Amino acid sequence: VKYLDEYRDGAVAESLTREIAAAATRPWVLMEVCGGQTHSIVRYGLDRLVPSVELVHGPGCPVCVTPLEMIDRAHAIASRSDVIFASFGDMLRVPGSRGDLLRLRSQGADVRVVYSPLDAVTLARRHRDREVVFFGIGFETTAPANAMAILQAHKERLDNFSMLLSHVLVPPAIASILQAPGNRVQGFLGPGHVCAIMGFREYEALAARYRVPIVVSGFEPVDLLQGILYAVRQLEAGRAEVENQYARTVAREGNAPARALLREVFDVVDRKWRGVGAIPKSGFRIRHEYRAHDAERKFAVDDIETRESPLCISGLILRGLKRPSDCPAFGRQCSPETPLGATMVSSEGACAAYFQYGRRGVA
Amino acid sequence: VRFGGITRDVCLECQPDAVVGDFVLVHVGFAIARIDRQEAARAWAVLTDIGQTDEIATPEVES
Repeated sequence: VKYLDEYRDGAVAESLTREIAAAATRPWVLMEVCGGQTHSIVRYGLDRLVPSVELVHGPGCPVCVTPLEMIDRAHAIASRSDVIFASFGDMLRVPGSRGDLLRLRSQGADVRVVYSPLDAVTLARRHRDREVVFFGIGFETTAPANAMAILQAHKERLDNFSMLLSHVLVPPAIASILQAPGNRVQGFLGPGHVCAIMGFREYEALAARYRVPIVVSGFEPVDLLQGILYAVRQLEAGRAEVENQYARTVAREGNAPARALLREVFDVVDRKWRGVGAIPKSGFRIRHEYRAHDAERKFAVDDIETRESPLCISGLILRGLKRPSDCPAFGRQCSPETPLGATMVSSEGACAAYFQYGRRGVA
Repeated sequence: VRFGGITRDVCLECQPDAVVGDFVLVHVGFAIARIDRQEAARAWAVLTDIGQTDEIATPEVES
């Protein structure tokens, strides 16, 4: 595939690792923010190719940071007999306080996996006698598609379509990591697909305010190695700027129609992140004008007392303070078959990536 | 949009300038970005400049 195979070229990757080794005069700590990047790094063993750089995995797995309360709300709504509950596949196995959505389906609930939120709108069109609720989660990358689904349902007056929204934003999370006491992260690989939507002006403000280099990077091994090289060169030179490694996809201003769509349908609000806690102005909610499609307003769900597994350390992993292999339950009580926490469920979760690529009991 | 053998309808609302033959980045049924061929060619030129240029065949890029 064009624009893809080149970025998996072994010879280019090898010369990049040599350049990184030559550029680094001391160890540096970088964080990759996006779960897709974490997955690629572990899959190709990139962290082992660049021993002078410690790669810390960030909170960039959308499924993992969706708060437990939201999973429990989803569970309560999906239990209703008048509801068709639609979701991306990897949300179904995330453990809530009262079990996961997949088990609920096995007990007779109408829970369906869709590829796109627009498929959930199609369901609402076909089943006018049922309430169709879509679990809209994710980062900025997914937000325009969810906004579009709400707008489409609104235009077609599909009042049986609503969304349980739990959307989060990357820049406030980066700020929260940098403000945390004991932070070790010195530079970031910026999330390429988030920036494809939002652009990277906000990241320029972060780089300047906290004096950290941020290199907006792609997802293939060559992209990531090049991102690491640029970040190391900045650190060595004492620079703290935003560089765009992923210019074939990302423009500084992002995608203007997508950003307009987000402004139309969503407001920015404080959000709670699973494992991390509340972060100010770190997510979206559905604007008042579209409240008829807001599942939280439509289905009054009493707050359920939430309960996390006492063994799971996913909060520390999401903040980059621990690695999956540091967890005593990793690969023992906790595996993708029987996950204790969300980081083991999602394909973008750090624990699932370590498990899948055989990093068991390895530091 | 064709993805290595699979064809699916995607929403182009946010890529109004996309035309047949373009490469687009699709996420959950939604085209979020168009791959810029000139930038792709330029980035590849930078990469092939690093180290062993001779061993790497430069891909053909239409522009």
